[in-house]
Amino acid sequence: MVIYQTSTVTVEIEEKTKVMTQKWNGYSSSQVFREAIDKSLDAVKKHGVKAILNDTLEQAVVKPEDSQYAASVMPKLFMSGLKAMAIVLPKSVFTQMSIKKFQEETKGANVKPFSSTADASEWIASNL
Amino acid sequence: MKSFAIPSVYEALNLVMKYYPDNFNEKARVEIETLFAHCLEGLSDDSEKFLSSLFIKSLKNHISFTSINENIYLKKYEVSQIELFDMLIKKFPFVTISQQIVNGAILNEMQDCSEVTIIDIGIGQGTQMANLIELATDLPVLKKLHVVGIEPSADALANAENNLKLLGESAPFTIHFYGVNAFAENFDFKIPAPESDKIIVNASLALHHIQTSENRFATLQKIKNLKPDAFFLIEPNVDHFEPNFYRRFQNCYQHFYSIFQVIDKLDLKPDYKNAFKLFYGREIEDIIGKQDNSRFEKHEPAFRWIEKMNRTGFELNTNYFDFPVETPIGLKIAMHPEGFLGFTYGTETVLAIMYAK
Repeated sequence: MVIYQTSTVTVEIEEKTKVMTQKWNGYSSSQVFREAIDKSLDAVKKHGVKAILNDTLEQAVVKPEDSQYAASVMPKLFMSGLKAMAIVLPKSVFTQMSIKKFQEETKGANVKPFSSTADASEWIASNL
Repeated sequence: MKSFAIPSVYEALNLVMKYYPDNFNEKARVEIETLFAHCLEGLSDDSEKFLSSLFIKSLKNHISFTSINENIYLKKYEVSQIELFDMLIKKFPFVTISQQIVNGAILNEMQDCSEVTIIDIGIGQGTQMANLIELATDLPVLKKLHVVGIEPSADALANAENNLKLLGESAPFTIHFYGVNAFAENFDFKIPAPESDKIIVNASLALHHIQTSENRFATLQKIKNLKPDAFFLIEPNVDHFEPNFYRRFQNCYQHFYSIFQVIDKLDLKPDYKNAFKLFYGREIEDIIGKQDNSRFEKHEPAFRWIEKMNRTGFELNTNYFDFPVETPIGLKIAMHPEGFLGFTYGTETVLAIMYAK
């Protein structure tokens, strides 16, 4: 089920497994980025999502304030029943820097980086 | 979240520099701001980050950033100019050792002379000449030393004159100082005592300030026309004359990265090391941040200076340097096949001394 879709991001839920996938592609404006985060949070609450596969492989850099915004939503996600988040690491060195910053701001959460979607999916399956 | 390694800062900086001059769109700006924020974390202990932050700072002259205010982060590393120059002269091996080597060679030239004229191009505060005069007090037959100091800064020239006059009071020979407040390319190279036993010309880190290749050649020609007994040229061995921005950036990065690694090894307090690095930020700003027609620090590799010197009729003298082969911090000093004495750190030959007749 597709929750949110633009040219730079698609958010969808696999209803059977309750796994949400956020797939990013290119540079998202602040508006699109934050809308995707907000819709994701709503959907986690509404559909009982257990895990998120955040695929940033093709994602371009994220504004520091947007990255901070995403980090601020993390406690709400985990309080809403989320158990794990896997991040497929980006190719872009700048996006890697954004995620590094995000990582520092979300210490303690069950979030793990992966270099491939397959590894990320496997880890998520083991966390359900 | 488990940590992960990110590629080198240079890799990111390299990408950013490719946006120059027309592709600084919103995404590029966010990338630059992200890189800058990344560099600021751990800046004081990481040469690569410090250097990259200086390059990004220089880019500010080409594009406007809303969120980068480097003064807040970098200002704390500033120390006074006087302290900095004092450290530079006493502690920085590229300056101290190169000038010691050249002074040794000049002293060798002065042996058995009773009257010598030295033209010092870019004399600054006269530090190198003052050191030379102290060494020259042991010369048995020297009676008269004429120092022609060429310097565009009137304040520095006045200090040089005072410093050398003070030394003259106790030296066993007379010192005549002739200050020329001018750029080297505007000086006619007429000297006050052409009857001297020897005429020696010294240009330490000065000639790269001449803006055009034509004027550099013309200045070298005027020096050659003096028929000096020796001409010493110290210059950074790097191509910042390169008009292509991206290639100039690459040359500039490699050059200063090597210098920063040397600074890291100096026996100095960390704050002073960073002050040194910040000092070089001004040069980077000139090389990267200014338009080509208003740049001042147009360094050229030694082989190009040698080409120009050869065209004017100079012949390189390669056998008369007395020099240490390696310094305690790993700086290697060696004669290069092109005919210059090079100061190499790692694979980068940072500085060159040329000795011509």
